[in-house]
Amino acid sequence: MVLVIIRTLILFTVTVIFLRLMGKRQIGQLQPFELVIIIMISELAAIPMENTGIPLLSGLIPIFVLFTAQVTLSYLSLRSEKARGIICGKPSILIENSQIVEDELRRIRYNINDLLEQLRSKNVADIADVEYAILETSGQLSVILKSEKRPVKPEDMDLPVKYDGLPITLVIDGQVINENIKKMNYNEEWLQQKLNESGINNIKDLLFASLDPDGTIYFQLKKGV
Amino acid sequence: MRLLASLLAILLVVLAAGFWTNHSLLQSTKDLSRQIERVSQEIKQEQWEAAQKQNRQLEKTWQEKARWWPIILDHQEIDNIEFSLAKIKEYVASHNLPLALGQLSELKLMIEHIPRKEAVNLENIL
Repeated sequence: MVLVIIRTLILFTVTVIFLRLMGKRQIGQLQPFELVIIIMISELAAIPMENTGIPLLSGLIPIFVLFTAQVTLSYLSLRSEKARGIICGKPSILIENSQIVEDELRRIRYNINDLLEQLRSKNVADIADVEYAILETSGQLSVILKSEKRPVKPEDMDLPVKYDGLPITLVIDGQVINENIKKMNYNEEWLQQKLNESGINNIKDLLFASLDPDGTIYFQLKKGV
Repeated sequence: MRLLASLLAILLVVLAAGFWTNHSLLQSTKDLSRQIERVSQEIKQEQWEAAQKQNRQLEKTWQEKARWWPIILDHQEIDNIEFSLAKIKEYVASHNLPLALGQLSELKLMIEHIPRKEAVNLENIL
């Protein structure tokens, strides 16, 4: 029993490390070879976990080899366009100028119902509104609407807009994020001073605080403070 | 690129360790087979005292040579060999010639089967 716990912890740790090193992608955004590798790794980790008769190395070595294969294929597809086409496949244009590309649908065995379903999930009800619909290698459908059907942008109406940057997080759950404060060329004393101006004496009382691009500090106190 | 280079370097080390493991497995198996042969010879001549001595030597060789085998081999195979060694010990102690020889033959087959199973060849790959 204790053996199973130790082996489980080892395999779990190794699998998490390898999956973490593989990169930040969601399951739906995985390339086919990455999906295959993840399925295989989960199986490889599970078998020696439940069967103590199998050496741990029989699970760890294949996981390591699969991880190396994944990194190698990723580098190859990063370096060469041709390799990318072979490893990841190529995007398919399913709608071109509001016309369904029948041959392509047939070639990739993608039926019209699936196409309509995907369009509806992108809030597009009418094929006539679509300039291009492209099925990406990850299986996601990208939809480009006709220019007259796109939402209006400030640029279309020549409206001036002010710079809208990214708020920087300063405090989370009473903990100061020093890395972010340094990035803004400030220090903790500056933050304390700013908070004092707003009547907050202890940073620990803050649930969250962030700095807007215009210099305004947004904050929320912890419950009960 | 540094990650890929490190991984390929580790892979090479693992590969080399794999070949070294197979080589060591073969050597250990040869030593054990030789020892099994010696026990068999003594039993065939009904030299039970000498057979018991050789058998103790066989157990010692097994302890020394196969200490690391469970790291790479199915534990069931190791257990089977140990069960077989225990049986041989009793058969030799009770001077049971047919059963002792039969069990020794089975043990030899089990031990020689291991490097054959781990060998890098087309048969095992397929």
